Amino acid sequence: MSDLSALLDRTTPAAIPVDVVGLLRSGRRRRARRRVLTSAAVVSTVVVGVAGVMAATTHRATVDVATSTTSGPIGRWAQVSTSPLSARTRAVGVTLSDGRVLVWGGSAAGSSGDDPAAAALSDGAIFDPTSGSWRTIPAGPTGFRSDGAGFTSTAFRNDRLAVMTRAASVVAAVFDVGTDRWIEAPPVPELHDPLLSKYFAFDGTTLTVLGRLDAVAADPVDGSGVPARPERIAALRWTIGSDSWVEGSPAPVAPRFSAGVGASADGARLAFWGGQRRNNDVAAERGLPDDPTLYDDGAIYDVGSDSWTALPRLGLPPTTQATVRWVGDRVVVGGGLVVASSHDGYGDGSAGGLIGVGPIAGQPWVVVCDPSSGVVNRSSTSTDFLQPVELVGDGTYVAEGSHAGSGVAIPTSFLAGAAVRWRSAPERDLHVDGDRLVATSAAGANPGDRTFSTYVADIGGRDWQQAATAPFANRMDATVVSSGRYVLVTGGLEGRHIAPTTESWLLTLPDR
Amino acid sequence: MPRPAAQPALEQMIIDEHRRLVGALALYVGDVGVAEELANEALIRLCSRWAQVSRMESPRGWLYTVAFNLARSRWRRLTAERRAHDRVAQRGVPSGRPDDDDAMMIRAAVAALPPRQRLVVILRFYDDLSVADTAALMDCAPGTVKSLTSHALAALRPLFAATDARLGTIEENEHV
Repeated sequence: MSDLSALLDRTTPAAIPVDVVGLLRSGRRRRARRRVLTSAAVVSTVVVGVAGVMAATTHRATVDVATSTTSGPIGRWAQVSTSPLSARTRAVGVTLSDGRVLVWGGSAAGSSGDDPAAAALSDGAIFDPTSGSWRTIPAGPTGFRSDGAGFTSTAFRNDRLAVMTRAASVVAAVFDVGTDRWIEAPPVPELHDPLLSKYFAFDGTTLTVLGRLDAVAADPVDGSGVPARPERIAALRWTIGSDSWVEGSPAPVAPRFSAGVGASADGARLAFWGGQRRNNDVAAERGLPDDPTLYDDGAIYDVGSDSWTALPRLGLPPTTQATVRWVGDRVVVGGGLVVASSHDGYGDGSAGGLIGVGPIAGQPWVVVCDPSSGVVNRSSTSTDFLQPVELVGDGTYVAEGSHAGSGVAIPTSFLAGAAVRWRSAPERDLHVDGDRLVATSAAGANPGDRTFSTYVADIGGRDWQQAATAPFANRMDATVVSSGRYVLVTGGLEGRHIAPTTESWLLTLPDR
Repeated sequence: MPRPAAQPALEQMIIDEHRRLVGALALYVGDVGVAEELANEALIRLCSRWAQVSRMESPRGWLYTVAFNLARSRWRRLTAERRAHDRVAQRGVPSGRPDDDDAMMIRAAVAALPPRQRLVVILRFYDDLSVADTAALMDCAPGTVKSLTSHALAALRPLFAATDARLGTIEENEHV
């Protein structure tokens, strides 16, 4: 037992300064405040109790769009009919071209997490904000996974939701809203590198994913002249209606593991960046030594022309598992791990945090934030800290994700070489629709502690405006979908007891 | 103003427990900065309730229970992450010495375990609690602690292979 104890002991931080006096003072203040609040709570419990009974009576009396709203700076909340789906957390939500909202997948609420496959949900529903009504859609061929053993990525284009789940095998399918049916892709070939194929491109018709493909020997049997192919990174494409995946041309850079990957918004291009020469697990299996070599290059694949464009070197410390996102025709690379030892996948968590912006056509990168600035930070093992990255009006907005503090917006001026200006979003989850930004409470916020807050900013207009206060307590892991005109909050866990709920609320915002 | 009589004991407890508490929380949440914020919050609560907690059988057990409850609360963790981020942004560097690779690897491996397995590993092997004490703190049966330990060790085996730890002997002891 002492072996593991000794191992864990090695993680004990060295000499962290502790402000004993400050802690004692904070404790005293907290104690004094608690005394005041305890007295106030006696009075407020009576008042809130009566109000709660009255409010509950009002909600139950409504049909579809309820009348319970609260006044606020802008917008109006209304409770809508309960979701027909089972209680779930972290479902995927997208806005359709006609303004309806598609909710799909998620994890069964209340599941222990011990069996993520069983908790993965494959059904969905469409919500119509104008009527406040729901209709279910057929269950898909794969459930939504987001756990250590499985991961589902999605892409939405032309009212089609493409999903790809990597677990024991890879399953890909497309839900077509127009025909209300799922189209399952043929079995996905072995892609070998789960990080390189973590995200895919979908242009509404063709689904493209990158893979690190094994070497192929020339076919000596049938004399067909199939050429030998070395290990390579290549794109695999499946077009709806076809019955096979087609391998595209190989990438013009060295094959590697654990590169970051990102698809353009139109699904026409895929970029990958960084990575390491050798996966040490694979190397061990094959009797090869560890190789910590990292790459600071990458390439962009164009689906339509089946061609690649090599990206120039960035000139900053190379990383593995970088975050790659597209901003219009530009690629943003950030974060990742600087693997400094032979331990595959875990590196110096404090050395990342760079953002580079590289035009596609071979122009040099622009470094807009270097690791020492402290502006961009990330968790030691988390790399998906850039989300979403969108081109909005005349401003490019980059929001830090769930791992690193509040949302941050960056005006496009940095693309033209002007000084970087940072503008904090008032809440963490940032939704972008046209030229309107909607910032909502973090989907993971604890219930009961605070209300669900929403802020709106129109590009070129005034700064953030607070929307009406939500008439429900904050939800944990709810599905929040914003179309710019509406914000739908459905499902998740509510109350101090984190009870699963299918309750849904809709915030209607004024026209911009 | 004279200090209350219990204050030196409280100060000593903060000094004694702070580093190990940060270490335990870092194993749970996978990040030292976040762990530091969570530990501070737990210690503030200890200070604010010291009159009651000091009379308990195990003030340390109370502190760890509060601390891990905070770590389990997603909102508290996000708040701690935000504060840690802000602190790094202000100071430019995190508190204390940077972690070495092994520490980060071990911490990441433990943080990847399911929450209850993670907690049992930390309490038993980092805090050196007995099965009975761990069960009491986790509010479950000793058999559950053993079962969780066994599953956790099985999950850690490949990840710790590189460190030459002899996990096999540990796992065997779990069934004794």
